[in-house]
Amino acid sequence: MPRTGLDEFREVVTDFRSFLSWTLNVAIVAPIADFVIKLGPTWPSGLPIITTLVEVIVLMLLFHFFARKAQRRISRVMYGVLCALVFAFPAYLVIRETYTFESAVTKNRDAKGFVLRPEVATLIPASVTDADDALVKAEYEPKSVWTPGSITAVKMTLLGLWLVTFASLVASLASFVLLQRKRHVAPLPRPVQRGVPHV
Amino acid sequence: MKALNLASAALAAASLVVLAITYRQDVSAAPRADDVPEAVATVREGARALVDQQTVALKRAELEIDDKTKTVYYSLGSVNPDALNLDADDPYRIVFARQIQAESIKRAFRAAAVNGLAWQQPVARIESILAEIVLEIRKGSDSKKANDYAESRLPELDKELDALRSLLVAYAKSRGYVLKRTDRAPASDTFTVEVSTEPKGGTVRVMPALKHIQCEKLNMCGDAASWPWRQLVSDTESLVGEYYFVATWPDGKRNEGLISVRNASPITLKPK
Repeated sequence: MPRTGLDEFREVVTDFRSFLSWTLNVAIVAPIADFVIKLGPTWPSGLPIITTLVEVIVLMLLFHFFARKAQRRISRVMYGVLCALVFAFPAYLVIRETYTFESAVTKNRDAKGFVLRPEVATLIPASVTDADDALVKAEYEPKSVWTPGSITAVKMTLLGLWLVTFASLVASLASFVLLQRKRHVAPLPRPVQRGVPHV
Repeated sequence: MKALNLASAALAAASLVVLAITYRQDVSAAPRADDVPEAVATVREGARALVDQQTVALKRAELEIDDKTKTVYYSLGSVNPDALNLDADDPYRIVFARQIQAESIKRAFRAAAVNGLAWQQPVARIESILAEIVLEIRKGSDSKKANDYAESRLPELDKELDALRSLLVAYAKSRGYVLKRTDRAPASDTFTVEVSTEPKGGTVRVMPALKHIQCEKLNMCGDAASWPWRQLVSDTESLVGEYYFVATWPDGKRNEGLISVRNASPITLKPK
């Protein structure tokens, strides 16, 4: 039996990690990791650290606010974060597809903006076909085509949606763990042998 | 350790904002046009202090000569004016951003201690233009007019930065080195392209196609002599995207037009 709340939290985290490794065995982790690495935002450079921090904070908050709550309440949380996941991930993909471009050289993705610089907007469509054409003509420098503020806004939006996706995923798994810890599994009935008194 | 670095970067960015606001208030509080030098000194002092912060909100200028690989690595740095937390129509936004960049260039180029590179002249001209902008701001009370004036001087500031790049190009050529920029965003890398002329001996100048259109159609670059051409000096150059080129030969032959760099295939330019 745990002695303090912190002991119980450690048990929850241990269960969470066991569940995570059970569901994501080696055969699945490698391609998923590769998919994630290619799909993740390229900014900021400390993204793995930030994502880990988010995981810890989500686990802490869930445990702090919901560890003692009824199963129904935890179920509602699980539905809520699953809805957030269903919204955030497709939104991330759409914005990534629309507002990032692939480098001709490294194949890395970088953010575009959504507000054209005035000296570029004036040239479309008479001298430059569109913003993507302007980007090619500007040595693939996004700041030459869009305002820095709009480029930053795109980066922040991508980062936010990515973190919401990851936080929702962690929260849904952690909710499941909390729920299962609360459920009592009834013991299997013993087989009754003829002539033997049932004890 | 990485979390500590992130936290200290966030703290440094916050201090950058506070310092910018503080120096902005100092400049506004200074008396009017008759002691503009004091206002200019305040701007320069503020820029120095902000560069001292070495905050990640600034992209610092760099200059490094690698004798092993015969490469000159450089960056003229940049400042995101939005990070200064000044109003969009505040004329000091441009002044501070460019003065910080100039200060960063001075630090980096001074530290590199490169002989035969007269970088001080374009930087001095940049500071002189910024001083003129401060004079204009201090004269009037209409900040929108002052901001429009500051924006109208931006092409001159960009021209001096291009002049500095041309000096770096000439310096690299004189030593037979390749010049490479180090401040490109992660996706904006370049191809190393072999550029040659046939017959040999031609001089090739390039400009990003977008810049050329802006110079030609919008008159953003002043007269033709001051357009920001980049002269290709090495056998291999760092290029990506579309460029407008002008190739000339000693016998008077010439060719110009668009080239598109989508891979590392060599480019050979011939007279028309």
